[in-house]
Amino acid sequence: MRTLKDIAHIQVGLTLSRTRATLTNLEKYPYRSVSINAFCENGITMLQGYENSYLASEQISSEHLTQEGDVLVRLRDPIRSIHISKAEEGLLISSLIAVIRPNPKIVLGKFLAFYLNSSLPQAFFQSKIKGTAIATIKLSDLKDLKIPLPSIERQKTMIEWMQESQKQISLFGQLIEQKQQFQHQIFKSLLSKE
Amino acid sequence: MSVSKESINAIVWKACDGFRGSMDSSKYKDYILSMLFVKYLSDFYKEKLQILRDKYNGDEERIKRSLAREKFVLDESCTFEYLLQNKEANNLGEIINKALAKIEEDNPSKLDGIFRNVDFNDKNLLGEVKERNAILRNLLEVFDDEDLDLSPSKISQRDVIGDAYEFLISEFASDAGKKGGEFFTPSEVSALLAKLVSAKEGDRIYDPTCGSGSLLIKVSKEVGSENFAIYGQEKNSQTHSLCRMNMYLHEINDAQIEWGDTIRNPLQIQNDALMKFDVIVANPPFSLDQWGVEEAKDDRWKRFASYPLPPKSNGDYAFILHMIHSLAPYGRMGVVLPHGVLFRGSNEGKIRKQIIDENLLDAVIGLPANLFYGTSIPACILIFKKDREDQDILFIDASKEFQKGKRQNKLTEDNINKIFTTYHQRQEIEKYSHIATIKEIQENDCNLNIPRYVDTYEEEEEVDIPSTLEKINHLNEEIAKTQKKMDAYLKELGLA
Repeated sequence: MRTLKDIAHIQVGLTLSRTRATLTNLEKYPYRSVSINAFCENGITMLQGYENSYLASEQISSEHLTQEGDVLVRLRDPIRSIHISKAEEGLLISSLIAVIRPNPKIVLGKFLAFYLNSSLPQAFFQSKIKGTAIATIKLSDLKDLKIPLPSIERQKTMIEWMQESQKQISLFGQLIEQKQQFQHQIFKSLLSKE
Repeated sequence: MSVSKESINAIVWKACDGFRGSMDSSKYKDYILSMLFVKYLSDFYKEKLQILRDKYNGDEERIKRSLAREKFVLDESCTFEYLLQNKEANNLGEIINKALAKIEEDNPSKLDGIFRNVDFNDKNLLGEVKERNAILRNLLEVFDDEDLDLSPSKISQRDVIGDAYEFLISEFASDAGKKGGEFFTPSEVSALLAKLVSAKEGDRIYDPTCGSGSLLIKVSKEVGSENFAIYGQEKNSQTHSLCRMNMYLHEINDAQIEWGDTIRNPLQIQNDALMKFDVIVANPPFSLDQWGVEEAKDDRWKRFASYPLPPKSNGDYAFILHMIHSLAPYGRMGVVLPHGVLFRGSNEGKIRKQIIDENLLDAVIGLPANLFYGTSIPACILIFKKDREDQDILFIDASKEFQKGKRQNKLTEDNINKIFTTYHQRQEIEKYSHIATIKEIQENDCNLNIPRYVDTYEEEEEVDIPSTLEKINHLNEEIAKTQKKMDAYLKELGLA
């Protein structure tokens, strides 16, 4: 078991209100930011269509923009994590989200995201949540999270298994839908013959 | 520059902040709305005074004589400015109360009793002296805003203040939930009803449960001139005062708004008979319990004598019968009701049948759910006419056409226009409206439930069986493949 802060760089996103362009700003810098609604309930993929546009008054440092392999953590309850792919690079990260940049020699991003969404860390987060109206966790709580670390090879196989399992669950969903339509139509056809 | 509706709304809403927390919104609205009315009277008076001063070159005697003939008489000690000058006084509540009493006293025929529900010196509501003075001072200061100039010349459209007034009432209505919402008909529903009954020049317009009067005002606006007469009755004394102020703010100065229970004690009387009206509109309380069945049995006006008695716990038909009785021979009326009136049985069924047999019902319009403050149930509008030649009833199912809102759904202008055009032109539109003959309705046992007449059932898409089967097989194969892969990974991880 290692502590998350020992194996990855963790920081909170940018407070967007501070750099938001106003009418008086002559030069404006357009960005797309990750919305906290882009965190899906199942899996570690970012939901599409939840990017917001944002006009900044200044150029924003690249450390606040998403990079491939980043793991983003939503700091508001429900605490969910997503893994950033190549196609999702360059999005602005707000202060409602923490970004974890893991050391790929020790822990893989996808493994980390799957782990953060699993029951053990979730129980830990629940015990740390503050506030009732807007329930959040602190960055320091995230930093102190303990994580078991299999070898990189083993992590890769575990990721493969998880992804394949996700795919299978989604296929089962589609199967149920088709089976329901089939059942409905067959019954209707049987009735029409009466 | 003329005062805008938005800036009035914002100032009035700001005034609410001073009260929030110390009392219920249903209480503090009386203070704010009364003060708004005082401000209106004050600005009205101030401008008139200025005009007269210019006209008579400061001849105080002539100015005084002219002012006495104005719509309202206002003593210097009743103006908003006077109250503002005294904002630091220790007995501020008392000073305001005295001013209001004097306004009533000086205008006995118009404003008598209009402030009877509001006590600016109420220890129970406004707290001890220090606290009370702070609240009242804040109220005066918020209203002392140059944007809130309510002089007649600054009000470009004459209904700006009235609309602001209604804005507040509607805000309070949704704020207070069921308690406040009961006296407020959403403005789009009022607008629709006003269009449907289309009042004409010279009409007598009546609302037996007029609340704050918004429905009456909307109907009167449809006339297009000032040649109409407004009559109303309201049971709640607070709301009755609001309604009277609302009428003055809309410059309907001769409205006859009575205070009392319409069923137990109707007050619009002429020549010892209930007055007859050309246009009647109402949004009576839905399915009112204890509406007065005992009194109805021996009603001296014989409103219920020729029909079976409505049930004790559902007053809907009591209001309909009162309205029918008050309708002039060529009159038309529109009433907002819950759907229950369309299909409930027993005596209500019998009354319904009789009304249909007498050919009084002209149209049934189903509205979308969740339009009203404090209740999500869908309502309908029934249109009645006394001189009908048609032997059929128009059904419109408008329940699916609306704009979804955060708290309430809304009817858009297009929605309203579609309903109005369909009604006006008596059109049959597939899945929207249907003209049912009286015979067709009688075959349905006079049950008016809209789905019986307007078929809005959407045919579902046919599913192709062979291609569905193919999809199922393909999915099964894919699932088997993933299972195989998963098994292999598990084996590698030492778990299989």
